Amino acid sequence: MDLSFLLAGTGKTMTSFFSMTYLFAFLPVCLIVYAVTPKKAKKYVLLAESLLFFWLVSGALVLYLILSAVSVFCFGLWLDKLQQKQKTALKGLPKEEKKAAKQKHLRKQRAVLALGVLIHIGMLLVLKYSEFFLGNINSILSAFNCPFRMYIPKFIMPVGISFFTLQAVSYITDVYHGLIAADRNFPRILLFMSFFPQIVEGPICRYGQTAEQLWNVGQIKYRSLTFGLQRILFGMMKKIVVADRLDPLVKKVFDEPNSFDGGVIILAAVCYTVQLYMDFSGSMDAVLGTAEIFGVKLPENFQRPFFSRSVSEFWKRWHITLGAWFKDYIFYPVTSSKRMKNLTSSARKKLGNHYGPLAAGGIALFCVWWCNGLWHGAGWNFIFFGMYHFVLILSGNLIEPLVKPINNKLHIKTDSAGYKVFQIIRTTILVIIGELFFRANGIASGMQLFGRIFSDLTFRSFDGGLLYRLGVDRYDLIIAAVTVVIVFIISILNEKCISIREALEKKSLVFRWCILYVLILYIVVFGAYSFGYIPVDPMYAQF
Amino acid sequence: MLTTLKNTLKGIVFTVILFALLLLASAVFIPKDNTKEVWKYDYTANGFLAEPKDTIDVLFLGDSEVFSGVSPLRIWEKYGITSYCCSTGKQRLWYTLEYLYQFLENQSPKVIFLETDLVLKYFSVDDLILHAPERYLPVLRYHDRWKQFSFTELWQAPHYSYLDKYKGYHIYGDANAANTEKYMDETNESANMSKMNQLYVDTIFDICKRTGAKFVLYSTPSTKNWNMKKHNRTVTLAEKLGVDYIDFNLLQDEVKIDWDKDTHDKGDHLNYYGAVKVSDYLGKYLSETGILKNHKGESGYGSWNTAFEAYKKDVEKKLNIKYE
Repeated sequence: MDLSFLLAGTGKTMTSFFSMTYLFAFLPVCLIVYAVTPKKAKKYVLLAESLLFFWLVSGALVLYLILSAVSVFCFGLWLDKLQQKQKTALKGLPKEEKKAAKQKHLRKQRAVLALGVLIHIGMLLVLKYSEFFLGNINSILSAFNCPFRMYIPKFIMPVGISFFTLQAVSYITDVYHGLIAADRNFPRILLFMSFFPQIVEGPICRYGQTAEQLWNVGQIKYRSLTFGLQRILFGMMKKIVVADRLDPLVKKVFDEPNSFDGGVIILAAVCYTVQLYMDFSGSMDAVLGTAEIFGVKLPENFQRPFFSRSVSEFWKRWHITLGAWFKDYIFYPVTSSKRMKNLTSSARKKLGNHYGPLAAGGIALFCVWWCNGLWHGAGWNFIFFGMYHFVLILSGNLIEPLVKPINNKLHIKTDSAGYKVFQIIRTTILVIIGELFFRANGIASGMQLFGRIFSDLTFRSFDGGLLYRLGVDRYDLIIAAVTVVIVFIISILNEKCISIREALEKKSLVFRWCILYVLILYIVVFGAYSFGYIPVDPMYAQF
Repeated sequence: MLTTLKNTLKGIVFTVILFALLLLASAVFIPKDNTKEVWKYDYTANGFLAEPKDTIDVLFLGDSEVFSGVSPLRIWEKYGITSYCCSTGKQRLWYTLEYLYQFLENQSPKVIFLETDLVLKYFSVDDLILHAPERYLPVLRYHDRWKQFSFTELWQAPHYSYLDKYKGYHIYGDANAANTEKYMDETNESANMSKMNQLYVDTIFDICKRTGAKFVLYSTPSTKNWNMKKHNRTVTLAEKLGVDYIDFNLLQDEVKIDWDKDTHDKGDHLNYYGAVKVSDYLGKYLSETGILKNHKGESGYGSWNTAFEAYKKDVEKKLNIKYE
């Protein structure tokens, strides 16, 4: 019997939530099956659909996900058992003995936590980074003329491993800290780890945020269905009309760093930043919209990042769940460690209240951005990208006390609209520079592109035939720009806490439908799909 | 219960109106002519739209192997048989089927050839879901025409005016020698053919049966695209369907392809010289079927002679040779 016919791995295109297979086959079937299932069984259907999704996308690699969930489940129970043991053991002990006994128990729990984290992070390191690390070791060996070379194994990575690994680690750590109780229900843990809308590109959820919601899903409600579909449509507009349309231009310039002058490189860097935002936030709209249909509220991953007044604020608004994960599981554990606490108190005495904590904070920040860069990909340009932001954020903190007196002396009103706009533009420029290195094909290529902006800052390429060479035409740029303006206006309204969907809900049915028809026809007509276009994979799925 | 019913009804009405709007948009976006300027993509393959009704007897379907490997005007010159190459680069079977439906709207071919390079080529479910509705909602295919709209053509009825001068064939004059190492090496293994591909070939075959056209599978000589594994699989397919299968890659005694001179891109596609050899063989094969008429001298086919004369001149000019 030919088991390959069970469609394992045949739905690879479904990693894009705007692929035809996902939108017009998988999702509708899932919703129908889910809708007709009795309430009590809905959670199991959702779990089965999630595993089926993973199976269709990654085939047998679904085992990684299941094993990861098994391990998370076991470590949770193990920690719980140790915690119960600690409670019983400490009961009735005199105060003086309690501390030592507690330390003894905590040491055990810490060891279990370390093992759990090590297994998950280790699996991620091996699968995602072996080639990079071993390749670098071989380069060093080669530089020293050493004949020995490390064998570089090739691994196939299951989709979404960078996302579900972080969820796994967060669960074990939260159980260790007593923030959540260890779950004794394995299917619930598995659903938390595998919920299909979030498995490819996140958001990275905490157990406390989603596990109970997922386990208590109910009937699909009309409001959640319409709201969810509206959000998916909005995301589709971002992805198909803007992100995919700009792809040929971005690809061409970044693949040929020596072929274009500085003006074109600036255009490409801006376009890439727009593309990345529209791609990722568009996909998030599809993810959150799909979850909304099931009545599940996933955490937001974007909060209008291009309204940020500093790089540090930008990262609180861009890929929020990743930033929050690094903050909770790397930054705080580093700064609150005994050594760092000692460093802070001694530095505070010498450097004062502002600079003192920055010593330990800087070390923690370095760890965060090193990991952030590396999380995005196994390449030096990603590490550079991380270090670039580390330097920007740290230097922002360092010069903060100096800026205030300068502003006062120059009579700059920091709360004026003009100054805010200046800060937003400055932040955006710094972000675009970072994204240029992020997209470049290696660090040398990034340097080349960045260098040309200064060494060859002309716009001569814009004379005749440039757009044709870049694989786009002026209509592509016009429609992308118009759509960006639409998204920008909606973002301004959101920033003022006006929800378009809720406002629309209050309008008449005819008006609502007209808006939806316009949006659908806008995507159908102006979308970059079908003839003459190559489908672009979701950009964050590769991380 | 009443609310659920009301909401379901709302959903149905919304969808019906949406389809109506998409149909309306399709009427607006469908190309009103088949010229290069209007059609933009694959306009040579669509030249048949302007051919007079029921004047083309043979249809060649396939990817770029067809438009570079078969010259309908050469077949006309030698045998007076009218044919057309409905072929496009990287064509997949769902698109082939579309062409066949479109072709049959105005023509009644007696023989339909399917080039096998695309028969075994994988296409995704995504492609299928995206392109299958295009037949009913052409706006999904031609939506990009907003870039070239002129207000006057928006509401016009389609009128096709472009006749392709080579009947879908592309002349390639240059030669780039192919590497023939391992070309058609013997093996008993057979290539995979997806169930989706099988379904499409079956559909094309059924259409041929229904319309009374003879269905023939053929493989263009290509060192890059063809091998024994694929040949073996196609033999199985042809046997299952009970149709003729001509594999030019194994007909080297009868169709002597010189891999130093007859390919324009190192064995990927044939050039003019290779196409002439293949066309001559196919012309002979067609004439021997006994089901096709020699239309030379018949009224209504004069344009084919004019087209041939122009083709002959172009060949001589482009290749700097005396046409033989």
